[in-house]
Amino acid sequence: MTSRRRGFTLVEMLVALVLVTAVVGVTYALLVQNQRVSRAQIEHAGLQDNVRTGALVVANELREIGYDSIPVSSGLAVSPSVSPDLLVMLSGRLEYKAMRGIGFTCTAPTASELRLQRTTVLGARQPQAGDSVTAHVESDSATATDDAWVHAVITSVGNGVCAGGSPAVSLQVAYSGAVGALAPAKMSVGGPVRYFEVMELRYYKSGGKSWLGSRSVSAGGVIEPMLGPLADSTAGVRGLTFTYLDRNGAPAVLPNDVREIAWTLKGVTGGAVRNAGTAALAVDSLALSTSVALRNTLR
Amino acid sequence: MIIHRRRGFTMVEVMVAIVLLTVGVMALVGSSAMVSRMIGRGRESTLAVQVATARVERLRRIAASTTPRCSSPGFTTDSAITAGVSERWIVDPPAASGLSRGVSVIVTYHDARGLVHDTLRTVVLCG
Repeated sequence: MTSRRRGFTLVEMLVALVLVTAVVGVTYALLVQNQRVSRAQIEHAGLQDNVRTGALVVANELREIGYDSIPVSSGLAVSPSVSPDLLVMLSGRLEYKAMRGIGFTCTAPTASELRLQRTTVLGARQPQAGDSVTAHVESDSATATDDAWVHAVITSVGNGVCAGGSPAVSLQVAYSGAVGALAPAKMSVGGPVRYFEVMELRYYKSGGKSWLGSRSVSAGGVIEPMLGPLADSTAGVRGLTFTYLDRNGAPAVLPNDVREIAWTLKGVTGGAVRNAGTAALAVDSLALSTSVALRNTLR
Repeated sequence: MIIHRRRGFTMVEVMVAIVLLTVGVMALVGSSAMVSRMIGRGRESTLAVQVATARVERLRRIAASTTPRCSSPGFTTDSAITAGVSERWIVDPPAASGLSRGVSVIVTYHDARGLVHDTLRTVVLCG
């Protein structure tokens, strides 16, 4: 007699079912765990990226800050006087003039116009109304001690023609104070003009989270997040703190005395993540302190 | 006659399969742990590099604080411990031109593998 009962017995079936359930259970747990770890890894990498970017970008933005100096020997009425690039210096906010480019004059400067040869205007962007400029005053070309950089504000930008007929960028400018009446006549044709955008960096709150925001004051822009999220001001260390130091490393009171800006940036992860050594989910943070020495030279 | 048609896996086959599966799963878990460690090391080195960068900037400020530049007594070889990172900086003797000085900052910190030394070398203008 041949028994042709193929298939599984009930017991086999049950054992197989239990085993399969166990294997699937373990695999699923591993998968979930892996997903959680992977999410934490992404968050941690993002956090590091964030604070590193903060250190780099802020340093590059602030490094060029300086002040305009007008030496007595320049013969300009308002000497000595300085017009600092640092306009507001608070622990959570600063306003500064960021250089956006340079150009060279191609006609004799007047009290209301600086005409730059178009091919020499180079920089991150073209000059715009609202930007400030510093123009070089050569005076006596035989000596550098009477050289000065004077400050003005661009009221409008248009097209023009150079003395030689080549295209030019015409900057209508307004000098501050008595300098405007004296300085243009002492500038040489071909002298350099730097243009600056007034920028603001601010620690602010938006959408329940704290950010480092940036805004063009010249262009009347609105604050936009540059990086974050940063730690809230209620948490032990505030998310962003600027410190202004003078030449001796002591806290500076006046913008002209600032030689170094130090800041602490404390980034946080976007959400609660699993952190090393703990099973519980928590927001992780990373605080980074760095500083930048300002160029702050005569220009 | 009863025909036994016992198909299925032998014990050895099952064991080999389990071993292979285990090796695969371990590799997965291991690689994930490795990535975690690498990110941890990145965190340490990020902090250490910023300590070194801040030191260089501080030395630049000190170098520019005097006329002529680089003559401040503070512009010299020294060491400190900042934010748990041990740093030592070396200011080179003046170059023949006198226009610049080489500066090295050596930071020492701990990570999962042990002590790590990183050197940041740059030039500070003195002219």
